[in-house]
Amino acid sequence: MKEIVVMSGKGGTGKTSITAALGVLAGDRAVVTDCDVDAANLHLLYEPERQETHEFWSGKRAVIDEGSCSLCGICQEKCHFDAIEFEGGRYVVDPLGCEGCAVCEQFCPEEAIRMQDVLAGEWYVSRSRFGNWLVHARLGIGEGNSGKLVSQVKREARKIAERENADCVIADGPPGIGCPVIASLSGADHVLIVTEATRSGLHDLRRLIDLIEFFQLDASCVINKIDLNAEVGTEIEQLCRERGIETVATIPYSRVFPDSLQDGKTIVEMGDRELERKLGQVWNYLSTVG
Amino acid sequence: MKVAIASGKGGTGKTLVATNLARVASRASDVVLYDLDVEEPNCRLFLNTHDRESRPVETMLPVIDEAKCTHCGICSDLCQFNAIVATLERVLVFPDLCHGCYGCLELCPEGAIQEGSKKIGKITVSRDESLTLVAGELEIGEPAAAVLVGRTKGFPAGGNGLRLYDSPPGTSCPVIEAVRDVDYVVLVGEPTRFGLHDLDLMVQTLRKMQLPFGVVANKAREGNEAIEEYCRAGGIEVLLRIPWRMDIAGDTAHGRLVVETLPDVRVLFEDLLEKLHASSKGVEA
Repeated sequence: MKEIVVMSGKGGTGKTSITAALGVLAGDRAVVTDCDVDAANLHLLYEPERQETHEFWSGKRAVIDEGSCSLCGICQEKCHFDAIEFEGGRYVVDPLGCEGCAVCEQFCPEEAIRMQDVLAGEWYVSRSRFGNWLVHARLGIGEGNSGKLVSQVKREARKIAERENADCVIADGPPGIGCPVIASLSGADHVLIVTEATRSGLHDLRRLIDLIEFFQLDASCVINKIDLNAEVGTEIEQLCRERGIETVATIPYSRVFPDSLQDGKTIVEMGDRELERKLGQVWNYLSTVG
Repeated sequence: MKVAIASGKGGTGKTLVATNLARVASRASDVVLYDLDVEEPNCRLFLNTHDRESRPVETMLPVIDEAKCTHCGICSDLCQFNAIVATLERVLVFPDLCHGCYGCLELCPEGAIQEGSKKIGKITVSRDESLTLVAGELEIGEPAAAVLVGRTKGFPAGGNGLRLYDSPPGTSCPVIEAVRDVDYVVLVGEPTRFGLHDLDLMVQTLRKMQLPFGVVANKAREGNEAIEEYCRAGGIEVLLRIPWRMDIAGDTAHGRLVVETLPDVRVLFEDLLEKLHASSKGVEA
């Protein structure tokens, strides 16, 4: 059983549309998971039937008991995250600023501060309308700890894949190169990059490849919107060649992507045979890696 | 006036709006554009800025003085992030897990922990006439994007004019840090299922933070009013509608500013700027 993570660096390159299509082509040979936990979208196309819902408790947050507080202000002084404010004659914790380090609790001479567990989101096990398993999540509004939630859904997806004797886990990754991306890459056997032929796409791809090399992972690439900037498209192909990344498909800028998203379908349900052929080619390639 | 540009979903056109708006605004007065998408900063690709100057950004990292350490374990008991682990022989520090709270340093009874540092990225300042670009760039392999967002945002760039903050995608900590304490947020949406879903997540986030905001409907196709309908239902102002057009997509893909190449689009952005000035007067009043 192998784990394939789909990444893009830049957002909006078509990563989720392609991941969803690969999941359809793979059928029950793949368990699909959505690692873009703070803006998860796969479920919008899979319209899954939810089988399990779990709470995601992670981290702590300081709470000041007004009754015991002597207004000494030490907590505010010690907080390195500017998360304690003096408002209306009392000290209050800004829940969006608090990192949960407990330094204020340690220094409070009145023991007026306690650390409370945080319900930071939910995660779900579902069955997609195509029959495959989907593990997805929803990070609470304004919550941190997205990396830990990513690790949680990945762990669960692997468990289900092993139980169901699936060939692989396909994970839809978040954009960027930071904490949730690093958590998504951890334990991956192969990275499928979905980039686009734009100046921004190329710039972000370079940083993503640097990160993938940093973790010494194998990768292949799909170049979407190849005709949007043909010159950059060629540059991307050359960059991939130089870095030992195979370009498995190039896809022209297509209305099928936004049309499918408008209709709530995957891009392999739109009757575009050429696009289906190319995605079939990508799935066949992925079957051979790892 | 401080205005953040955010979206929830990636690739909806945040940087398109931020850079073109900055260019239009800089014709009349000084503008500072902050690129807070520190994982993938792209504003510079669209601007012809010069006089680039970079400085490293470092965060605190505890350094253990083994000679003074008695292996009491207070530091590792305190650390909520498992970034410091005391064994009988030595104390281990895991830099990627450290949040820089200074707790271990302040509470060590032997004074055996000193303040060290690690580089998490850099901030580059560059100028193009009356436009100043302050861009954060996260080091490869470094997870702490939100910290760098905060540092980039706080970087002194002078001027009392318009400050624009191009935010990262998503709705978690880096975005919260980017929009925290701004006067107004411009949300850039696209009329797809993904776009609407993530726009709604950002709307909920901003409501929770009690920040004023309006929406730019990007990639708007003829006959599709999904964003406008969503906004109408929620009592949200639609600031601008940018049509779905190949020339806009193509110029942007080539790193061009559409306010410079497409006169009719420039008019749209001038209108957006006026609306922002009007809402800033509302904020001040």
